Amino acid sequence: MKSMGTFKRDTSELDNIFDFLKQNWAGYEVDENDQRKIELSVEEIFMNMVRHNPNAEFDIKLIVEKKNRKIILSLSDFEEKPFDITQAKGVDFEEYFRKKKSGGLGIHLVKEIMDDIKFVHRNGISTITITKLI
Amino acid sequence: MLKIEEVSENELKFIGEFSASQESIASDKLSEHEETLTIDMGELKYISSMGLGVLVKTNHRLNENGHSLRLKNLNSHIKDIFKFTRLDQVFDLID
Repeated sequence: MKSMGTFKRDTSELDNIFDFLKQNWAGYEVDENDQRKIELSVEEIFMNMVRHNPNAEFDIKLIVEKKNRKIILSLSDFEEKPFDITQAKGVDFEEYFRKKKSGGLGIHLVKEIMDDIKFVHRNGISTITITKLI
Repeated sequence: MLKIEEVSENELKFIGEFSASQESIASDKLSEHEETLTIDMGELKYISSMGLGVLVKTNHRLNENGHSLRLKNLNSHIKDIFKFTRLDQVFDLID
C-alpha cells in the first residue's frame, strides 16, 4: 500500500498534509498514538524544508507506505545545498535552558519518536525517509 | 485546527491540534495575559515544536514578572513530547 502527495512550501499546507495522512490511517491499522507521532515528524521535516529553502518553486513530495509492520514515509525536496538532518548536532539542554531558547527542538523530536531516519541527496533532490514500527 | 476557550480570567482551554499553522492564533491569545496563566490541555490531541516554542516564549515572558505558565490535563502523547524535550522540567505540569 503506497500513496503520494505533493504540497506547496507554505505553512498553510499543513492541514492538507494531515488530511492526506489521515486518509491512509484506516487502511494501515495505525494506533492513535503512533498516528500523532508520525504526523508530528512529517510536520517537523516539512517545516524544516520550508524554512531552509523558502523561495524554491518546486513542491515538496510526500510518499507514505506500509510494509509489513512498518510505516515508511519519505519527503523529497529540491535543495542546492543539502542539509542532512541525520548529521544535525544534538540539543545541549543545559545550554538551551540557560540561554532561554524557545525553538530548534523539531529534529530532536523526530529522532526521539521515529525508529529510523535516512537522508539521501541525489541529482539535486534531498529525500528524508522516516520509519515507524507499528 | 486549534480552538482556544476562555475558562476564566487566568485559565484557557486548548482544544484540537496545535501545529505550526496555528502559531499566530495562539501567540496573539497568550500575549493578552500578563499574570500566571493555566492552560487546560485535556482536549489537545497534538502539539509540534512550533507550539512548544510558543508556550516556552510565553513562560519566559511571564517569568520576568514573577509569573508562570501552568499546564494541566496533558494526555499521554503530549506528556511524552514534553518528556522527550525535557520541557517537563521547565513547566508546572498538573494532572
